[in-house]
Amino acid sequence: MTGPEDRSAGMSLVVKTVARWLKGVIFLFGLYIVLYGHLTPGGGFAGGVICAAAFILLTLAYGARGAYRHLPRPAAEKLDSLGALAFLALAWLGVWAGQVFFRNFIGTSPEHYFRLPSGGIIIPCNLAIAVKVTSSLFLVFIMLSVLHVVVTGEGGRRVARRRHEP
Amino acid sequence: MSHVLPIMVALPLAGAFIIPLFSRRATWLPDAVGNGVMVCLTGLSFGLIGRESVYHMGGWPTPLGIDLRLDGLTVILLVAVNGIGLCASLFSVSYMELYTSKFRYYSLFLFMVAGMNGVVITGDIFNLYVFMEIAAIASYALVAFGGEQEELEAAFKYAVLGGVASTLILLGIALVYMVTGSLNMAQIAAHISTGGRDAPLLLAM
Amino acid sequence: MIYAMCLVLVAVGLYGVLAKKNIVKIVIGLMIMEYGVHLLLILIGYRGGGTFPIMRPGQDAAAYAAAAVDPLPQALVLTSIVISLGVLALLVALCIKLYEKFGTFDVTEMRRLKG
Repeated sequence: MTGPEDRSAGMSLVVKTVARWLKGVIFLFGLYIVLYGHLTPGGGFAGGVICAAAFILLTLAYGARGAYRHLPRPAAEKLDSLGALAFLALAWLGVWAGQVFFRNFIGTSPEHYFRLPSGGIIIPCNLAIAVKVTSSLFLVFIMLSVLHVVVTGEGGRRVARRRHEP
Repeated sequence: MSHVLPIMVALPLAGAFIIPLFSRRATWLPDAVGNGVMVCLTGLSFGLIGRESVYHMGGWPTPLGIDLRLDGLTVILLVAVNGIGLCASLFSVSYMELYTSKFRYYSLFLFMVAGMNGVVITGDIFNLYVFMEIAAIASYALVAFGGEQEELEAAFKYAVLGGVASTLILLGIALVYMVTGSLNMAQIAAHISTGGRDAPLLLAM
Repeated sequence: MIYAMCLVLVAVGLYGVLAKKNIVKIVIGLMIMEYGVHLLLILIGYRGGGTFPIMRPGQDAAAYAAAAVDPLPQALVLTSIVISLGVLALLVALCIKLYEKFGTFDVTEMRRLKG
């Protein structure tokens, strides 16, 4: 089960194999924390951080190019804005449904208490925030780690920058 | 007309998120959206002169929810913030041609306007802190916008100062909550005026 | 008494911001200050001998409200952690760019501004 990039940049074969097995598990766990945010601790932000950890693990194991095969950078930038716009649209749906801004207009009946459907507007809000946080943290990690700095010359005053995609 | 108060915050936020989506293909879009949003906001804030209202977000009543409150001081500050923002964004149509990524400038600028509108409108002290931080982080990025040495150094020093100030404001908010038990500004004012003055509260103020 | 320990943490962070020359250490001092304030916020909501504020099915509402720890400061701290994450990301990016431009992490050598 060796992939085509196993001899190129990134970490060793053990790390790459384990990352390939674990990326789905971590993402699924993050999705669970997002969806049950109204019942158990967690919610949009914490679940989004865990989902971003799956992509960051891929970046560490395979390098930035390997991570781009799963989530390309223009797609992450678009998802970032779309998640935030979805959250704003959900807030305005409260006004459109005849009531106040940000109102929880999906009512719940008592038989659904303590289970998943009792969230109302909270579940789509959590999902939108998770999408935004995942793509934002993945982009922040890529931006901070893809750029390498080489300082040349004496006194540290002359700096040469080498953009290096591993 | 009764849902104007959330629009003052939601409209620049929506503009700031729409601009990065389409700006690769349409280079006229950041100018149009940025200046259009500022014109709408200035018009709305002029239209709000002479009104007073309270808007309960999410329909939750006052002790439980966040209020947006509009009174005389709020209207003056809204007119000032949005008017000056309109002038700045009209000027930056030509001035920002010097920089390459103009759409990022407009996005950050609209974030800052949204934060400042939120600071002025809100009636809840923690909501005040959140909007102040939105405006502050957008302004740290705007100070560092050119990428030259002086700009980066200024941005770092400003960001550290702003971070320390925000932490101390949060400390004050924590102490106010400890003494009064509520985050709503009207309830805190009532609590203070009925003689609930003691040492922790004075330290917080 | 334990609130005073949180204020000691804030003071340690403030010392880090004021007295250190390495910009990374200044950023770490700022983060320690924020941790101290978050800890103080959570401790404010504590009720002696209370339980966690998640209601279980079949629990009486009045008994839950009398025994649970206050959940509002926990929500405030969650929001504040997100805000400090944003500030931290921005400061770290600024540190990287400052190293590129100046070639050093020392803040006493970054004096190109006047005044």
